Amino acid sequence: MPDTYDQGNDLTDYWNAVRTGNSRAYAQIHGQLHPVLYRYAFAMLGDEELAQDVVQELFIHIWFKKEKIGALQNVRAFFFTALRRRALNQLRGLRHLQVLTPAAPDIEFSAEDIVIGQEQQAALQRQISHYLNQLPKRQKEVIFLRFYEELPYAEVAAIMKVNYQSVINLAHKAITQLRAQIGKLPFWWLFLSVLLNNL
Amino acid sequence: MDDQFSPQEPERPPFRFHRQEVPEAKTAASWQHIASRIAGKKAGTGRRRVWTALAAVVIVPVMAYASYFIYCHIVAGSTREFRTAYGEIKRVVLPDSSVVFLNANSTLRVPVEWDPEKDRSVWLDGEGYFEVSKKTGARNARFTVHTPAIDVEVLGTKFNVNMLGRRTTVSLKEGKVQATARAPISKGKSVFMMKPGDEVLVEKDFSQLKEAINTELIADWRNHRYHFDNTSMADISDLILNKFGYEVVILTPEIAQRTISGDLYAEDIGQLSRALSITMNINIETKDEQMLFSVKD
Repeated sequence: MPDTYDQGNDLTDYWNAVRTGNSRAYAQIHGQLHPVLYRYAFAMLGDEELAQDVVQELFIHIWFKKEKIGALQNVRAFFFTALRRRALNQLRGLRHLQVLTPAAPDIEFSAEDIVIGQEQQAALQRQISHYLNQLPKRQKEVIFLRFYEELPYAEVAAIMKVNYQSVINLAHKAITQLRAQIGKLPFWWLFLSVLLNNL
Repeated sequence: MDDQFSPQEPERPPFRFHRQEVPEAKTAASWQHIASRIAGKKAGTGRRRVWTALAAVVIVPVMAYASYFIYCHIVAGSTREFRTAYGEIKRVVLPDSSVVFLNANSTLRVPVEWDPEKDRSVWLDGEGYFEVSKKTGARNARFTVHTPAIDVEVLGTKFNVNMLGRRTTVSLKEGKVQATARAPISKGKSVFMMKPGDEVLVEKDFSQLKEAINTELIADWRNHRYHFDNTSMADISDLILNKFGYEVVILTPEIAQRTISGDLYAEDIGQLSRALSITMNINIETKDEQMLFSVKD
């Protein structure tokens, strides 16, 4: 399985140390995973404070459960999965309480997330982030995990608790749709994007 | 940019992402918090944790109440007190012509002297609905309602404050208020800028914001109306104990699991008891200071 993002493996040694109660090793894991997990939590919850809280509580919870959890094959995927469950519970909780508010937010991309060519062109960035946000939730999540965080497909599948082929299908659908929508954009933009893909 | 994908993998989207950097300070702050929470477990196991827990459970609320009462006593010499008995509702007009409706079993302390140039403060225990007049004094004279759990700072408006059991809620009907929890909050925010239809709830170290509640129903107790929406028996019991002084005793355990939805009109405990017994199809017997709930045979 080709893998472009494999720091995940370094963490196994740290995790084994953590299992013996080594909090310095846990600090290493936290240092590597906090930014990634925080971004994911923020994309799902849309609130900085809430995202920071969820990630902190996750690390605290896992520390006290470390003996029970035991050995891990992919430490990063494990944290991602646990975080996803937590964030979803959080959203369910919010939805339950806010009786009249619209459905809970899912992953939301912003214009600053998008790069086109050398310069960032505000209008296009906005247009593309708009297209992205129109995608069904699960397609968006695949795009986020695979192309934003650049996790391998196998890990994305593990995090989303679906099989490998389903993730591929979701990504394929999302990309096909994005291409079709972006295809409707003016010609000069297509030129830029072709240029970019061939870099 | 030459990522290698296995053949069956779809291509990339026709653009790239720019990953937002998470500031290092944020990661550091996160670890600091985690480290403080996971430390100590290994060292002074049992006792230390018990003390920490005790400190959180006992000292925090005690301090909050203590500071509230000390505050009240300091100003007691110069305050006027309005009280309502069980089942009683009172309308109080404040010197600045703001109006407060006091629900049953509540106390409102108001300073005897009002300096229109200065901030206005009142102290509430129980439940009250406030219609605060647009300040007549200095431009920035604020109006603040203090309770043991929350301070509500007001900017010309109508809102309800209710302390029921361990919960304090602030519901805003019109205008703008800022609600600030007095004790440290570990779950949720401690300061809320509220807009109409917002309801803030504080219970111990937990806070929560409900949005878009029906503002028509705020403080409808002034019209002797009770609105229940999937309300638990525990909440009903709290209400009856708090507003009417009767302890609810549930003789048939099955009733404790029920929830009630709907609107009831009741001017006194007798009417409330009858309304509840009809809507829930149960027997309610009132004895001394107790109400006994049981299923009909």
